[in-house]
Amino acid sequence: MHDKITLLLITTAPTHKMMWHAVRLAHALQQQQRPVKVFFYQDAVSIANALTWQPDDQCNLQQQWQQLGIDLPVCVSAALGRGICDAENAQRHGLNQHGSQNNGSPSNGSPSNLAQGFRLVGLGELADAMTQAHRVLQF
Amino acid sequence: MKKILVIVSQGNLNHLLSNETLSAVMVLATFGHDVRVLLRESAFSLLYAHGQFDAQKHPFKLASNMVESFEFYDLFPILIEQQYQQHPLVEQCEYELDFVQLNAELLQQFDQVLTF
Repeated sequence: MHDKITLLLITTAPTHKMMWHAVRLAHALQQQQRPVKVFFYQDAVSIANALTWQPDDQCNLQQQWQQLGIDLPVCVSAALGRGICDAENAQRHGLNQHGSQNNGSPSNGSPSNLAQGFRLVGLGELADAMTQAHRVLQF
Repeated sequence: MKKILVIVSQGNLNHLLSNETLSAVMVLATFGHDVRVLLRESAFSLLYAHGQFDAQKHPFKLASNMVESFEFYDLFPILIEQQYQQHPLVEQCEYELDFVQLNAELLQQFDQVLTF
């Protein structure tokens, strides 16, 4: 029973309450030692933006995901389209920190704003996760 | 491999999410999942081919053009609820359609259901 994987597919933005419900469920499943996988797609990828700021007295959902200590895959094309990038993709697509493409010339430094613990991946990982999952819950 | 129902309510050209949804559908099918797509509400606009993308006229690439390539992913027939059989966009549609009742019996035929 406990080896049945629950996949949480999260598509709503971090500003929506569904993101909070998703991370709470992930914590609850983890507390019960039930395997849980997640995948962030569409507007949910904004959760991986390290440059997000919010007041101390507000829930920090990004930190709550990080505290789970699980793999946090984020769709790479959805993320890049919303300004979330790691160093590898910045170099590949010629993106610099001034917010424009530099036509493939080498980037200065590593313009990554991908938050720690998150990982940019292709949609194939979602397909694989759906194969493995016993159930999929979408938020 | 799983049998997956994807229910799409997002319209063509309303936002980029429609393109992302159909991209996910195609990737799931490419990876061997048995995917069926049910269109409802604004998503009927995906049934109408709008021609070539024109950056002067269209805010996004046309998601409806992605539907044209469904045949390469075995994604036809597209599922439509029976109650919308007379909808103008459904009536004009030239794609292969299958009219169904969206109820528990239908949902139970699938391992997983995604809604966009």
